Amino acid sequence: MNAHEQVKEILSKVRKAKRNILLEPEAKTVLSSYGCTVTKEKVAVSAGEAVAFAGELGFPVVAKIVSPEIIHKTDAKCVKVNLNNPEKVKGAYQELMANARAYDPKARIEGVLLYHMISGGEEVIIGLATDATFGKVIMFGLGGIWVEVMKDVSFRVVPLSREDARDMVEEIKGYPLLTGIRGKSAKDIDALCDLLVKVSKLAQANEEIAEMDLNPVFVMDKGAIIVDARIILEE
Amino acid sequence: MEPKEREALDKFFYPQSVAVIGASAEPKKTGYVWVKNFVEYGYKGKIYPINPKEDEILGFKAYKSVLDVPDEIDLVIFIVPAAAMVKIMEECVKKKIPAGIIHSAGYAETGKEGVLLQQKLVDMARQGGMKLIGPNCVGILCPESGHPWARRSTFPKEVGGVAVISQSGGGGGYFINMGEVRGLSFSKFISIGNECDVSVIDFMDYLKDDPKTNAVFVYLEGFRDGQRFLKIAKPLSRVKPVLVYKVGRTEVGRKMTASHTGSIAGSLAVYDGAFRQAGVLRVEDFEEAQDYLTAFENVWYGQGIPKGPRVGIIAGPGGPGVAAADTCGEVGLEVPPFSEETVRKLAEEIPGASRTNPTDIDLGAMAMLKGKNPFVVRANIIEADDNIDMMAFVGLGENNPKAALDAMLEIQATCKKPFIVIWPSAGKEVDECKEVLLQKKVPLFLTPERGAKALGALIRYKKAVERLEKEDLQ
Repeated sequence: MNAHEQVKEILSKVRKAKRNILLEPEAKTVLSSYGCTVTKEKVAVSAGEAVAFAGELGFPVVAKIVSPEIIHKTDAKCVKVNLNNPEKVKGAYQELMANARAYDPKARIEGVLLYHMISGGEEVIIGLATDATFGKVIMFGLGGIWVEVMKDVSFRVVPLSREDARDMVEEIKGYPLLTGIRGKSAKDIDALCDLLVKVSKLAQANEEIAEMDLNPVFVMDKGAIIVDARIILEE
Repeated sequence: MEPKEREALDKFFYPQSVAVIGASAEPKKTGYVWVKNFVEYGYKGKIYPINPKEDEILGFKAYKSVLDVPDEIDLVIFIVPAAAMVKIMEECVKKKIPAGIIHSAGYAETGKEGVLLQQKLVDMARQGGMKLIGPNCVGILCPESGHPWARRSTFPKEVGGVAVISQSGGGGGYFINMGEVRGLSFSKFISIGNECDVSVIDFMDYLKDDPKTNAVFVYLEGFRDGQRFLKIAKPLSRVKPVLVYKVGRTEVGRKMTASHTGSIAGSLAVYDGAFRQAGVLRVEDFEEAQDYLTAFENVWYGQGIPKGPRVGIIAGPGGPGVAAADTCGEVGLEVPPFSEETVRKLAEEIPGASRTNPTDIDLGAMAMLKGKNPFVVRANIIEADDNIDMMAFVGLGENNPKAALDAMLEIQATCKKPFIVIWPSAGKEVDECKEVLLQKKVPLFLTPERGAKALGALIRYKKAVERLEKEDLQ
């Protein structure tokens, strides 16, 4: 099964479940089918399994609830970060389950997602939206306040050329943070541009994807890794 | 653009014969003004006023209907109430007129019935092979053929290289009139109105191959089809600069979105991205557009394309020179030190002169050097500097404007590197000298900041073309 067929299969599974928002593991599988690097992760269905997976993935880990009813996981207290030993993972598993039930007693909980917590990268956001005039457009910005407060973002219309990707990265005011300032190392801007082009290809080949938030993406000294991803299909 | 399509649009600019439906003998009416404009603008083709109540208008025989005109008609101008249009359109289609301008308002902008009527007219025209612009527009301006707009203002007589497409008839008209004062001249002006048939993007496509047009300015409210804009604008930008002034910054009817990206994506930000992708330069206002167009017409096409972004600044007073240098830095230009050779020559020929970039001249003590103007002496030295791609002469002063004018004309005649003149002074004598510079197509700017930004636009465009070329090779 090629990448395109694999994505189509996931999307039709989501449709069959009468959903239009992909679960985080589904979104990440879709993205990795198109060659995007995502965090290595596993979904645990028991506290024991969570501890075992955390060991495999390498401490520290992040743990999140997987549930179609819980989209805004931070608001629902369904995310735990910096879990650096088995006890903390076990405790986090139980706490997340309790918080999820407290947030929405009817929520279907598919497990707890675990991935190795990344450090040393620069946080960026890549998004996709559907514009009334131009159709699919890709947004790029630095993470946190740069997007929320400063609105320091750039847009390009799908499909993106390699040149477009580089331009939109260089366009934002915070660009020097990626090239390495104040003794910080330069980040892998080539990998970031590759990622933007891959996201564009994914959007171009799958018209029914209306919106995406890849937030955050970590741009490392080598490579760029999608840490969290949300994909929304047209209604 | 297909040759057939091109020929069809040619009729708007170069009609052999024009019928004006709703032509009037009453000087207060647009139907009178427009016919009179044809006469005053020097239109050489045939004019057929159509008015069932008149025998003659402005010396032309009037007809009751286009069907009574014995000749073929290339273009019809409709100045009639919307309610009367269906019957008139039937006659025009029967007459096989290939192009029409609907001037009057009262269509899609008025509501549902207006939308339906407009669509009916477009359907009739398309079936009959007629291209339409408008409704709700002031028409076309083509100085070359003497085809005038409907406005009561003056029209530019000089044929130049700037084409203007405007979604506002009034706004576009102001732009042309302001541009004339600024020393710009125009190839074509299109007031597109409600864009019922031929679109802004269609005319962008047309202008790509128009040999009379060097640069395109678009006064834009919005595109119907953003994907097609990119398809047409990229090859257009490859061959000539496109500037867009986008108005209407709030978005109507944007869908509610569930994602973070959707909530940030304002339409202006998306337009901005699309413009950059297409190599189109977005401007903030008319002045900026006219500054850039001046640079494209008189530097890019007049003097030549700057090889790179390095500017040598030769200033009268020091302050404006520094202001120009600051703005150069902000818009991606460089103001590098002069070469050793230049520094040596400046010291040799002009004792006591500053040898840094910007270099300034003490205008108060400005004396001729060995019979030569100090601007010219510096220009000759700095022009030969391999570190410098273009020059800006800033602040020519008001003590002896005639000498400054002569110096600039001498530089224009001999200088092989692109240059601009920034002359913020005013006064009768200065203004007269500036008028000469405008006439001689010397690129003239009012302030250091505006001049430097215009040079920046040249380099931005140059990079955009290089990027589009690179993209094509992929």
